[in-house]
Amino acid sequence: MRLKAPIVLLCVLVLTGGAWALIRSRISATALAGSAKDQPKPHQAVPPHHGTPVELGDEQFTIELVREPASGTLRAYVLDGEMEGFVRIAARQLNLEVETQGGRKLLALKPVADLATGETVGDTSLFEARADWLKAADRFKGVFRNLRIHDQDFPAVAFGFPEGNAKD
Amino acid sequence: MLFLLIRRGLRQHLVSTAVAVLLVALGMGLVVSVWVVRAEAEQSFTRSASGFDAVLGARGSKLQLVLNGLFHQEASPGNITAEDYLQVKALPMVDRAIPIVVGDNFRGVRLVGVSDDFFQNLEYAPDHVYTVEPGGRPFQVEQKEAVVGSLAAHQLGWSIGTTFHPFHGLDYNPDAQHSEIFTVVGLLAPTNTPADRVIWVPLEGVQKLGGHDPAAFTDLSAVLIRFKPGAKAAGLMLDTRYNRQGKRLTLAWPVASILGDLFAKFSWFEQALQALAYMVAVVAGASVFSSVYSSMSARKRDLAILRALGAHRGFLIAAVLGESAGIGLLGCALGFGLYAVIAATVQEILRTRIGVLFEPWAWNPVMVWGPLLMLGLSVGAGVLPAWRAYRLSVAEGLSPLS
Repeated sequence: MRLKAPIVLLCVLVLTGGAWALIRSRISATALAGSAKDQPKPHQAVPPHHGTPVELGDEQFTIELVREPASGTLRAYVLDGEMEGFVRIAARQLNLEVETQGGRKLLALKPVADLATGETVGDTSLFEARADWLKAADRFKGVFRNLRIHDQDFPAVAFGFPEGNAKD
Repeated sequence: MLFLLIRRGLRQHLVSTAVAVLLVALGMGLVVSVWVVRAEAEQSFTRSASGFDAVLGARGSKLQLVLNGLFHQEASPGNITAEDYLQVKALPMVDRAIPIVVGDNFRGVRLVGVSDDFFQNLEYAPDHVYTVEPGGRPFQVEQKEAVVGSLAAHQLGWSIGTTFHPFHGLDYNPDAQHSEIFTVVGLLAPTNTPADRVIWVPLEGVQKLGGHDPAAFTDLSAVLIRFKPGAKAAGLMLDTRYNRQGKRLTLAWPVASILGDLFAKFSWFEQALQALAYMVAVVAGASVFSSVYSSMSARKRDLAILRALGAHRGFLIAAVLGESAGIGLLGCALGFGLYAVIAATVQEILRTRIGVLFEPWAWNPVMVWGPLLMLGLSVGAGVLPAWRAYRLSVAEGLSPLS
């Protein structure tokens, strides 16, 4: 009778320990899986080049504008609505009307080919234009005219620079 | 007196004590090994990135690019052009851009074609640059010359002046021998990185070997990139350009994160080993309990005599708990020895097969909580026998056995 107690306790000890070990490893596995897979991917609302986002339509596409003051260059990257992917288009140019303190100006942003990305004129997401007045134009109002991206037309898209045209 | 009593208890049941000590040692060795090997292996891989921040290669898997470009494992996902290399080299945020070409071997040891920039003050770790051992020299561009990594030289038994015919492909095929003869002109000083495991030859040496496509003579397998100090946004900028905007090339960056993903793929195995280690620890605790309990039962008469001679109940508790703690301490000491053997084996495998330096005695919290866990289990396993000793009646203990 007296021998029974330690044997039972031994069994309880082993079983408890085993259960604890399994629970411990399950908790770790669950925590790991939770951190790696189950967590929702945060929505990327930041333009890839930290430029000015111009939404087209109901967030169907976005044009990110990046001004390089030193060279007077304005670059326009065509992105999807989530600003996660680059959208290559065949456009010959992007027409932009700009209203600055110096008056109204027209910019024709031309397609840019890039060996690094594999983009070519006629299949690119990058357009750019250069003008001396852009070197000092840190604020302006603009309107993209007659944009056509993947069979969708955007006759006039107005925005302010550098804030963009986001509604919220 | 207490120490003598504990020692006598341990020696009286030497076999069960030894089994309990071995199990505690096994549990301790396993717990420490599982935690340290996992953490230190990842650290070792990250340290062995040879001082590069990124790898640029053909469109494909980032992990494959890192393994191929920095660890000389796996095949290249494809080739890139010399223009791609010149373009990335010219970027203002790039400090060093080293082109490499792979595709040949000597009896399984990989030949890596590299530009002569490789031997020009290129740091593989802070204040450590790739150098050739005294008596040798770097290869000359356009010559059939080679500099051999220290491990490769040891493995092949090569020295300066050795000549060899390379074999086509990354895997050794005796029927695919090239006719060209290369001469070893230098031995790379040990770096404890994967660079020690390969044979370094001039880019053109690999590109223009007989049987290689003449149209691809200027193609490269990858470009190893180091950004200028302080150019923190450089990786992000190039990641956007090559990986998100581009569809031709892949920039493997940041290397540490990519290697972290590799280890995450094997986390299920780590979880299984952890569960096994815990189970062994619990069984070790049970074994200590069994050993101390039987020892206490067998010495019930001795303990009763001690009580009759005036020994305090607390003394008996201390004797029993001391016995289980003794088993725990011996097991922990032996467990560290077992860990040393496991770590030395892992260290040798990582060094010779991947070229990664594993530091088994680097600080890890398990070095403290592992022994404490096993000691706690051992002492905990002695609580019930100690309680029985505490409640031992002198009359019962001294009653005739038959």
